[in-house]
Amino acid sequence: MAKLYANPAELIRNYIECRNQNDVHEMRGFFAPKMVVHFPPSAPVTHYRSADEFTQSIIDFRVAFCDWHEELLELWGSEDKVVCRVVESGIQHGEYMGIAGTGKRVEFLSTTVFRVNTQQIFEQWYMYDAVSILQQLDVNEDYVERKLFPDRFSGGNAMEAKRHEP
Amino acid sequence: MSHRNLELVKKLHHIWSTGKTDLIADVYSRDFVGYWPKSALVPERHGHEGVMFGVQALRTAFPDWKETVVDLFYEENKVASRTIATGTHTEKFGELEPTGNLVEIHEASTFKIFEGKVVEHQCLFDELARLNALNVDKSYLRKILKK
Repeated sequence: MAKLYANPAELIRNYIECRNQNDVHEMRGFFAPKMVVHFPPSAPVTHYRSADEFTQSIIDFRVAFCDWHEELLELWGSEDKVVCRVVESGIQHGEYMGIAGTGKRVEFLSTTVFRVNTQQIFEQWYMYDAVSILQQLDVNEDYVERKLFPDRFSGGNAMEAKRHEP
Repeated sequence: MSHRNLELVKKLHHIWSTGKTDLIADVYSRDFVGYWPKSALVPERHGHEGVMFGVQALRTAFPDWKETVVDLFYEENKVASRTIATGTHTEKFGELEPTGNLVEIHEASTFKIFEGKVVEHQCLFDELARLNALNVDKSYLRKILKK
């Protein structure tokens, strides 16, 4: 049974706290089973289509960045939408997007819009400063072309194909 | 009042979509500050002049630039929007020679409003999608990555 919060923004505040404690079980309780998470079209994975899928992605991410922390800059909402801006930071200990652990600390801004009620998150749209992460992990231009602009090599338009995913 | 704030932000996106810079003073405070990602061509804009420069530079490079609002909501003096911007790169943009390519960029913004004008804009957008759509070469990518 999902907990009931005073308002949607309060739910998200608690969700962020939970993320900072890396309490996966508690975190899973915030997600509606059929939640959808949208990443920007340039991201390697653009959608997660269930609570299980998204929870697994968080578990995987925390293997690479075990000390991850999100500092709230802005959090407010209406009846069914909440926006939060955070500074995300952590040290890359493990493999991330094909990059072996570097021991480098990254810090970047993100903005997420949640479709939510006072009990659960149904949908979220995540936007982040991806270029800043690449800069801090000191990747080179060959990596970006190979990993993030794959259509340049395949001859097709992978970005376009991802945009029209069902 | 808050409903007016929604209309104000719609009008703001309309300025960028049409190039109607005569509306800037109606929408933006003189003390306006806008923040974009550090990797953006211009990470901060100040005042009416900053907005004017941004709109003109963008619409020169992408004359058909359009910002479609896909989500918009508010709480008191704050508004959030998600937009999908599109445009055809027909003139030089920064150092980038025209490619003729169509770009489509997802953006997420929050706005603070004071006395009926926008005083702050925090914007994040899909910069990698922009770089990919503009077909930037390795030397340009190298410069961005070392910024």
